[in-house]
Amino acid sequence: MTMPDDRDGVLLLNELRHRDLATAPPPCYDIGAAMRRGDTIVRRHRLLGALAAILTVAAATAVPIALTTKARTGVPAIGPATGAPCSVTTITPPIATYNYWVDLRIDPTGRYMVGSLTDGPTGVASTQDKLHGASLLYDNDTGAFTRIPGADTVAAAVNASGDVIGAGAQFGTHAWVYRNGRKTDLPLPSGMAGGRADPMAINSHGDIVGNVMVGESDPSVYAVRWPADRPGTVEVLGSDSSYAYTITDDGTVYGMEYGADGGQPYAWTAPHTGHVVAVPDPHRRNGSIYAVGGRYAIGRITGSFNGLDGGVNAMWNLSTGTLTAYPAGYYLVATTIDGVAVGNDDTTKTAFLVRDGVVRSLPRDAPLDFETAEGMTLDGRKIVGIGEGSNVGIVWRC
Amino acid sequence: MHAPTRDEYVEFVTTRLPALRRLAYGLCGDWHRADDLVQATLTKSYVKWTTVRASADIDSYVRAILVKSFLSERRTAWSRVHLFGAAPEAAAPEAGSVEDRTVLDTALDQLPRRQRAVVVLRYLCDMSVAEVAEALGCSSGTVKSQASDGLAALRRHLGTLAYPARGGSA
Repeated sequence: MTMPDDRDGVLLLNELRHRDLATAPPPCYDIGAAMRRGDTIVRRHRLLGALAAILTVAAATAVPIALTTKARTGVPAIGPATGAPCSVTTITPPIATYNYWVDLRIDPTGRYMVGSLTDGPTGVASTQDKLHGASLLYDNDTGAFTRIPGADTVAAAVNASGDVIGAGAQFGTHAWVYRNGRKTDLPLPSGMAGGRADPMAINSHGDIVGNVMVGESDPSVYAVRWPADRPGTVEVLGSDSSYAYTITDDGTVYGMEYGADGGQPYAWTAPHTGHVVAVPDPHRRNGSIYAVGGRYAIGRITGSFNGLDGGVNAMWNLSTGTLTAYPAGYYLVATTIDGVAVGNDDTTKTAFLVRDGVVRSLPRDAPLDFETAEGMTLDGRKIVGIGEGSNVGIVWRC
Repeated sequence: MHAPTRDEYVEFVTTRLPALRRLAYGLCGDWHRADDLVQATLTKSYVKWTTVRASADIDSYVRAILVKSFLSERRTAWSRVHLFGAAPEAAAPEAGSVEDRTVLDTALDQLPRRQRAVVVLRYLCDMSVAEVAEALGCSSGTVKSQASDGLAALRRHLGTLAYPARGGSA
């Protein structure tokens, strides 16, 4: 988000922020009624819980299942502000009309980068809308930029073959893949015509995952996969409250699905086939997985049924259960197969690198007010991001 | 719930009600629907209060409950009611007047539901891009573009409705 946009947005909504509620009609909510209703719901939950416990004991007696969890949790050590031994360079968009980066992503090998552009930050007095936008693919081997056809595009990811996925800026009005120099729209599941797709990740084979929202007035969200070996098809992976965020090269899709126990990290291997990914924290069983590198998962874990307790951002080893929880405001973006992670501290507006459990800030390019890391190669040697409030892309080499 | 805990809940929500009502209004643009959202949020917060009070950021928790309630509002009767079928005629209101507020409300009404949620969460609630992305189940790039497009649309609608220029030249 741009600083001018932030300022503009705050100013535009300033009147609503400071609206005198005395001019509004008298409120008609009732705290007492909410408490009485809440007591009824709690009693009902307890009754259902007791019934479920009886059924669980009965089932366990019939089919004993050994469940063992050995969780080891820790917190990262926060290192010095300029601790990460990385160099930083900037990339200026080569198109005069679209000179402002919205996003910048990198493929796991570091050969390709893809970014989305607008026609520049807008100020308070701006009378023209931004132009959304061009998406550019950069090939590090040739040093060439390729503009992805079409306007109104936001690129989401690129794989090692240079396949790019993205969507229309109007909230995924048309999801697309750019492959071998050709841009193709990704289909919606049958019965969801008019829905909106938001592709999130693509693996080395070209399998794409994302989420489909049925409509503006329908809160249903479906995790979907567009398989590379069946172009023009799409598979619904989960329920009407499922989210796919990443896909590994073995085809496993990670994300979150709502079930009887609330939203939990989930792994799909096929449509409607998968399992809850256990969170190695006795106090937090809910959450999402956003990214996976080797055996390391990055996500947000929470301790409530609906995942609305704020929760913590964390990285954990899917094999050993070793979990590291991060302080509030720390958001992880990507991890390597060795557990080297990159993320952003939303409080200080700095990008950071985590190596050997120590968090170190990435060096800052002096003219920029703050920077955001958005992707990393699988070896952790190259990190990309954008300079917020400016028009430059950033590459850190570590 | 024990009496001290109930008292704690009442004390908390009482102090937060104006902010919650303001957020609910920003999301739905109607005071009666806003009060329905607040009422639902009060009930859900009460049911989950043990978890809410243990969370690091109680305000965020309760606010997120309200947003979720808004996004799932189609299950209520209100979602089938169109309260504003057409935009009011353009006027040249004075800043800060009642008419001025109506213009902003009308402009917000023109935004698609989720785009409006992005704009309100970003600029009324000061939520980060990552927090909004998580709340809405979309990518950070989508939040950024939606926020940008939402602002552009707001400027366009406000211009159409003769909204007074703000801030002068930056």
